Amino acid sequence: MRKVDLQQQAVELIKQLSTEKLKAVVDYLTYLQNQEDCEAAPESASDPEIALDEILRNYDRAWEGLEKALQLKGNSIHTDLDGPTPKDIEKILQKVRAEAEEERRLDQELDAIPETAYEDVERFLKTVNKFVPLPDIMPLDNGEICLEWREGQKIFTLSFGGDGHIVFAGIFGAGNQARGILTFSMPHLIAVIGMITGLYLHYDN
Amino acid sequence: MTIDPNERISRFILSRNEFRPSDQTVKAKAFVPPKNKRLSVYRTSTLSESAIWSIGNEFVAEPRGKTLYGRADLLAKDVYALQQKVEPETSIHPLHADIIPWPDGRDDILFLATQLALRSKFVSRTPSPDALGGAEE
Repeated sequence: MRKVDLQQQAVELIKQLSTEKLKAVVDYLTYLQNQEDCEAAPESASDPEIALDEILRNYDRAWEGLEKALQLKGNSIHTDLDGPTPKDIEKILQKVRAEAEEERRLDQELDAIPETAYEDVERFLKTVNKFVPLPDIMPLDNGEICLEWREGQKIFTLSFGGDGHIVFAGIFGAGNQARGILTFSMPHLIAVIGMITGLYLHYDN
Repeated sequence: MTIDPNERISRFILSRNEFRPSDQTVKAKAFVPPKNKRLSVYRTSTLSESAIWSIGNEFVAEPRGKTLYGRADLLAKDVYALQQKVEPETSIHPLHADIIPWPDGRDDILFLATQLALRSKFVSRTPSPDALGGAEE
């Protein structure tokens, strides 16, 4: 995704926030800006253990900031902050596994879904379930698992092939589209949450 | 042979998880191409409803041992807008065609399938989706 697209999306998201949430976003952005300044001065983290500790603490702070920014329940944006539970997710994936096995029984030319794909989807859902609604989840004929969110004429899809990557495609309105392949990492998950949340925002371009 | 941009093409839906009964929309899964990267569709502009369902049953669902739940209708121009084409492939049936070409990139394929799903209109084979009996995901 290009930087200019991300900037545009960020501005559009920010426009929708209340003053209180905007403060949380400003705090978070200030923190990120400080981070960039620190990274530009590598001598400040010479000890690897101290540097690692700092990174972990920064992730915790990043999550706190994101949680504050995305406390959307009660606004017009629908989220699923109270669910599903980890057990619910495991049950859903059991159903997906049964569907995939049934489809392969009927058509043996279909690719099998690797176990690592189920593991990646489970890890993904257990990470983002506080922030985004539960998607439709279905096996694909090419051995991947597809997750899909749809809101009117806006749609966002992910696919997991079990290779540690997240493939995404999103259509957020006329001329506002995104696609790409991300590695399974915390910063990328935050970006994905942002794109999914964008489906449920209503704004004027 | 070029297919008219306003001609209707139909992708038959053989799985409950290719559409949403709640709002009658089509999911991207329905348009993810098979390994041979030729997405099978039928040209249905000239057919009656009963003739369309007959083709779906006889040439698509029954040979695979599957249930025909409905179809996703598009206009050929919806496909052309994505820089794809609808190529007649009549070895199966005189009105059969394939949507081609498909790129190699996984994200490009998912993007095209998502676009086609968004542009398509679901037509249920039954008058009410509730009649499918537990068709909810």
